[in-house]
Formats: sequence, structure tokens, C-alpha cells
Amino acid sequence: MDFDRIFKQSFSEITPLSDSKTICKNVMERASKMSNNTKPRKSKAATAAIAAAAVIAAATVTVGAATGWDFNEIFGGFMHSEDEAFANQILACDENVEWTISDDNYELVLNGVTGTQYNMFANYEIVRKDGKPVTEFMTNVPEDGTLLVIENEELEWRFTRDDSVKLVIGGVERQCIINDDGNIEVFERWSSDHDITGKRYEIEIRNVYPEDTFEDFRRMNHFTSPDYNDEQNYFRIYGDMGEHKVSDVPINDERVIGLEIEWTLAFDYAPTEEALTSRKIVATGNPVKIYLREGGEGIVHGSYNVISGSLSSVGGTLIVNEEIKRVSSSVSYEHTDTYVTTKDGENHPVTITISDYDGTQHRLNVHFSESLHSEINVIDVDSIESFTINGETFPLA
Amino acid sequence: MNEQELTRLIELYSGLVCHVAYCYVKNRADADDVMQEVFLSLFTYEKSFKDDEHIKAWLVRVTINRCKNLLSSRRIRTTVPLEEAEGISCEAKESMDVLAVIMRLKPKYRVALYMYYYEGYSVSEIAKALGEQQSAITTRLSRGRKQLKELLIKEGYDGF
Repeated sequence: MDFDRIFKQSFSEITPLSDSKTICKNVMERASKMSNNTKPRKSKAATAAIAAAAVIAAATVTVGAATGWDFNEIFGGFMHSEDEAFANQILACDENVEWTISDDNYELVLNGVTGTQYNMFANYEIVRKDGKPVTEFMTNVPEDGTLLVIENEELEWRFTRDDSVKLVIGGVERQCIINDDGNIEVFERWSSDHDITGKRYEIEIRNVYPEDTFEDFRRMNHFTSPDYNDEQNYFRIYGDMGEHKVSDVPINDERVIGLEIEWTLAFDYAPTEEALTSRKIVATGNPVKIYLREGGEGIVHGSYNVISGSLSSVGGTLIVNEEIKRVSSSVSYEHTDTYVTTKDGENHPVTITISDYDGTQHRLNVHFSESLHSEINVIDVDSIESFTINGETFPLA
Repeated sequence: MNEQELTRLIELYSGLVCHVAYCYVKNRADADDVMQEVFLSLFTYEKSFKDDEHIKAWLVRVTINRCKNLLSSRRIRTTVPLEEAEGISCEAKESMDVLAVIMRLKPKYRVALYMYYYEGYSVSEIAKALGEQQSAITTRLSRGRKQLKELLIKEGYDGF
């Protein structure tokens, strides 16, 4: 979507109702009236020291330059190894991966990787060598394709037009956890998804502000924004101030929520595919990835479903928010009368899209559409009774 | 500040101020009122500015503050004045319709997107102008684009 064009066309129609001279005349008149109504001011008329306009030039450093970090290159080894190491299983986060790259000012520390046949998560931190927090992130928000490079002691997202790399910026979020000492740690979480030659990679950057208090965190636009009025959920998970609980889902950890549910989805959108049978819901710690696996054969063969959320929580409760929509689809289908029914009889709308990965692999994504925009949707996974797709109900086995 | 300098700044930035104001108040008459107040404030402002960029950022901040004051002080008209509506050409209709969709976003998203895509500000420049952290601006841009895209598609404007 061409946002440049949208905004240029739309706002070009909005012009001041008066011309510059009229505006100036009106302002001068009003200023004159004001001065007549007030005591004479000291003559301290503002002087605008007009200097050459400071233009922040667009960066021209190419990816892969000496100062740049090319994530294609950085993660190349993992991309290669993924086929062997990550096939047929969902791996636990491999925290033994110790890998550091650095330049003069920054150090990227890879803390662990985890992944599946189609997904890989690389969790890493970028730290300044002088020990100061990395606070001077400078970002562009590209439409697609970008890599992280460093220039002038600033981290910047750079565009790349390599068609093989598709990226969707997941945005920047503030998250906080309560550490083992009971202190709040605030993370600035940068996330991005890469589709590289049909495989999807997710990169998270966490920027830690250990000095921040919970009140600081509240002030930052997480809780003050109506979009994320999830304070209630937050307290339910982590406890109120003064009653700090340690999250039982460690960040970067992967865990099985403990569901062994089975149901069959008629995959009539792609007739050549076999019917799907869900075997297990597995969720990584952050973000939640729930794989509805196919017929006990693992997720490698054929299609599988993904529900993506952003947080897992205690008690098997799944919190799904807008982050679930990050998976884009190249092929989408209209669905009507499609929802999840919980055991209490309530229906929760879902949106289903199908991603055509490489022409042979299809992926069915189930999204809780209620959660788009402003609502935070909480669904107890244990309570799911059935899926209804296009009016056809598939109860859990 | 003399009249000549004021005229120069109005010529340079009246569009910007008008657009930012419009993002908040959603109608041109109020946007125009806000704009005049902002330039009046500029004219009577007693401190000096470092450069034009400094003035520009100051204008954006003051515009937003004025708009918030206006919105909180009285009920804003939500209708388009007749004389304004009559002036909308057929060619402009689609742009105005798209603009109406943009106006359904939250003001903070509208302003961030406008400054990024129309004014060509970088994230850091927007952050400075709005007195926000860069991360907040990045989030606004990301969420704003996402919501706008969904709204435009929903309204049938998927040809952009």
C-alpha cells in the first residue's frame, strides 16, 4: 500500500482558507490588539536565527558495509542448519548458542535460537560497549525488506529491496517482567519478521531499562494508550505492585502449555491436502506460537495451522492480542460463520487466512479477529470446545 | 520578529500547521483558527530559535497543544461548513474520502503518519517535534499504518 501517495493526495486538498498575506495581516492585527490590552512588554522580540536547515540526510550506507550488520549474512548459518536441526520438531530454545559479533561501539549477543521447519527465532541483545543502554535507536519504518546496520553510533533500520527478503516490522513494544528479585525490568522489544526464500524468521531486539519503575512503564504508552488497556490482564498475570510474582513463563523459554487436543479440520481450500488433525498445542514463551499439528506426523509434511499470540501466561490461559495478525498471507479466502466455541457456549470470531508458502506448502492461520485494534481477547485454551469454519463445526476430539 | 519574517514563516509553514491542526480538529475552519493562534503565538514568542527546523518543531508542538485545548474547551463541529463542502471538486472527492478514512484513526496516529509520509520527517525528527520517544513514534507509525490499511481495504480503497 502506497502510504506516500495516500497522504500526499489526501492532504494536498487541505489548504489554509486564507493566503499567507491575509494570515499575516490577521496575526498582526490580533497582536496589536493584544499589546494594547496589556502592559508594554520589554523589547525582547524573538530573533529567529535562521541557519541552513538541518537536513538529516537519508543514509546511503549499503548493507554489508564495514560498519553494517547484514542479518542475512549473520543468520546465514542458522538458515542453513535449520533444515537439519529444526526439522520434524519444535526445538527448545538453545541457550547454549553463544555467539557475539561486534563493531567498535556495539555488540550483538545472540542468546539463543529456537525454531521449527518454517520458523526460527533468534533472541539477541544489542549492547553498547561502553556499558550504556542502547537508547539511540533510530528507525525507519519500511514497508518491506530491511536490515539493521550501524552508523554514527546509531542503529538504524535500512531498506533493502531484495525481493527474497520480506519483512514486516512488528513494531516496538514495551514489556515488563518481574525478575527473580521481584524487581520490574522493562524491555523495549523490537520485533521483525523475515520471510527469506519461503522461510520465516523472527528477530527480536530487547532493550532493557532496568532503572525504570513500574510507574515509568505505565506512563510509557503501553497502559496509557486505549489500545492497550490491558492493565487488568497484566495484574492478573503478574500480580499487583507489591505482590510481585515471577512469571512462570520465562522470557525466551519455550514450553508446552499442556494441551493435548485433537480435532480434524476439513482442508477443503486445498483439496490435495489431507485433512488436518491437531495433535498438540505448543507455545513458545514469547511470542506464543501455537501449532496445530498434522495427524501426528509432525508439522513438516503438509499443512498446519498457526495461532500466534504475543504472551503466554499462567494456568494455560492464552492471551491473544493484535500481534497475532503479523503473519501475512499471499492467498486469502473469505470465511463466513467461522468462530471458536468455548465450553461455556460462547462463540469467538476467528479470521482464517491461508499462506501459500512455496507453491506446495500451505499454511492455515487462525486468528482471533476480536482482538484486532483495541480489544485484548483472553481465551482459555482449555475451554475451546470446537472450531466452526464456514458453518461446519469440528469438535475437539 | 518583524512582519517580513512572519510572512516568510507563514509561507513556509502554514500548510504544515494547517494539516497538523486538521489532523486533530477535523475541519478546516477550526484548523484555520488554530493556525492563526499558532502564528500569533510565534509572533509574540520572546525566545529565539536556533534555526528553521527548531521553529518547525515548535510550531508542531504548539499546534497540537492548541488543538487539544480547543477540543477540550468546547464541542467541536463535526460537520463540514456548507461553503467548504461546495468547494470540493469531483476530482478531489476521492482524496477527501480517503482523508475521511485517515481521520478515523486516532489523532496521534494521524499526526505521526502525516509527518512521516507527507512532510517526510524521519522518526527521530517526529519524536523531537512531538516530544516523544522514538520508540513511541515507531509504534504509532506501525499501528497507524496497519489500522489505516485495514480501514482503506474495508472501504474499498485497496488500489493504492
